[in-house]
Amino acid sequence: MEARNLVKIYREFRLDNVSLSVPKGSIKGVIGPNGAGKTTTIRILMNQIRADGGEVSLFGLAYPGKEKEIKNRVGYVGEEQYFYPNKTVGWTGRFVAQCFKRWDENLFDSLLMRFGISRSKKTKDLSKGVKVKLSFAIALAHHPELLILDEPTSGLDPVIRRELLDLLKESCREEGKSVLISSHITEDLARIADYVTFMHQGRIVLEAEKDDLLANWKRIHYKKGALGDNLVSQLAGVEHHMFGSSGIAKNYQALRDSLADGIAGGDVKVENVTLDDVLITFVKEA
Amino acid sequence: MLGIMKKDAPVYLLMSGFGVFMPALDAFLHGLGANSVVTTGMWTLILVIPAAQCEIVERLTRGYRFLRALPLTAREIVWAKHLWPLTLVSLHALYAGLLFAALAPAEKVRHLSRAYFVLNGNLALLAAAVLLFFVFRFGLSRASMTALIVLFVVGMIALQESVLHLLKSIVAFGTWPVLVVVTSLSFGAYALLAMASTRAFEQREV
Repeated sequence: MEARNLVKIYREFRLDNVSLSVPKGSIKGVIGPNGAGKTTTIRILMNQIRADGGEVSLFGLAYPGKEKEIKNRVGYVGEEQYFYPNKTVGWTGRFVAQCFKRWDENLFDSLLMRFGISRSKKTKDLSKGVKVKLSFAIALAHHPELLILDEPTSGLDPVIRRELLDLLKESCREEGKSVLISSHITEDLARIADYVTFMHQGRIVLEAEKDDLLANWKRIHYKKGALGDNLVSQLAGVEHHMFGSSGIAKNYQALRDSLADGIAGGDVKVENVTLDDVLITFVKEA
Repeated sequence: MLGIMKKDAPVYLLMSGFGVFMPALDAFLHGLGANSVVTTGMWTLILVIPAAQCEIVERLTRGYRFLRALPLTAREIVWAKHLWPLTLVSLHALYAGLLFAALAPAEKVRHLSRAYFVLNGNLALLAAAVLLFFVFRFGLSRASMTALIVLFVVGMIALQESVLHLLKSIVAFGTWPVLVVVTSLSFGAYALLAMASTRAFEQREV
């Protein structure tokens, strides 16, 4: 999947030259606060809205001419789940089965069983969590090569979230699917993503391999006077506390030698950051 | 595409059932005179209502958001929505025409009914196509759709007698060549509006 220079202009929001790709067989997480442009980007990728500029190519195919081919190879779970409320889960399954070329009824059945969803229940009687599970079952039952998931775990309890993320990881590992997943629950992405893209105010502010990012970004706690001004100026989001200060080093490997004495003397402590810390740093800087 | 049509089928078939049964009952109870032309023709027009009903459901359930996530093109979705009115309105106009051709005692009534049903069928088709165009172009709200359809039906009911009188005075209208030309134009307009709806739907956010 590749998106180049996507632009979408609304009255109060602008998606600004967003370029995104997902390496085959990997999971890419798109992180950003509400209103960052994650959903707009994903809806452009699903051809649900038209970009004002830029190009989208999935499997080397482009919209609108190849919409059917593309969507037959993509599993999509949106931010909100829309089904015909007076129809049953079974009806919904039969309906979508007619649309997909590679629909696997046995797989759909087994996913429904795994999630404990009854075929005879009307979709309006399903809870939010079960609707998301049904969406996952539909997204997976046609053997997609790419999964595009827009905040799929938002508003779900930790048990369901963990269950869905495990399923996602499992299907990636076993079937080599690629996944693009957006979320503002960074904990979920820290758990499963290989790559992360940070979005803020309609722009991509950072793209990196998750493990590299977490190895390079560190929180540095230091006592007053332990670091020179030159070192402090290289830290982001510096905060002063009663017993010292702390800030984020965006390239810890480059600072490590300079910090070695402070660490040995106990005046400097290094702590791992979370993706939340990275996100908050970008938001504060903006 | 067939899936969407199957989903909408009960709404259309229920109304069509009435459209078949009621004129037949009328013919059985009262025989077919000039007045039956109006009551039978009304059923052809009323077949526009299921189109609005189905769109109200799509609107309430955000159905198009669901459909656009599936491997369906905008053209398939739009044509699935156009095929029911096209098929049922055409079949009903044909059914009404055959009913009168077979059972109406007077040649004058048969001649009149033919023109009247073709005119009503064409009006119903254009009304359905315009309604669907507004739906796909602007995403009409439930209230706007209901208002449009009520206005259309009330307007048509109010005008039926006048149209019948007008037709009676323009007997020449009922010739086969004129009916074929008018129907072809109407089918052409229907297809053009469906294509415009497809284009509008491709551009619109659902």
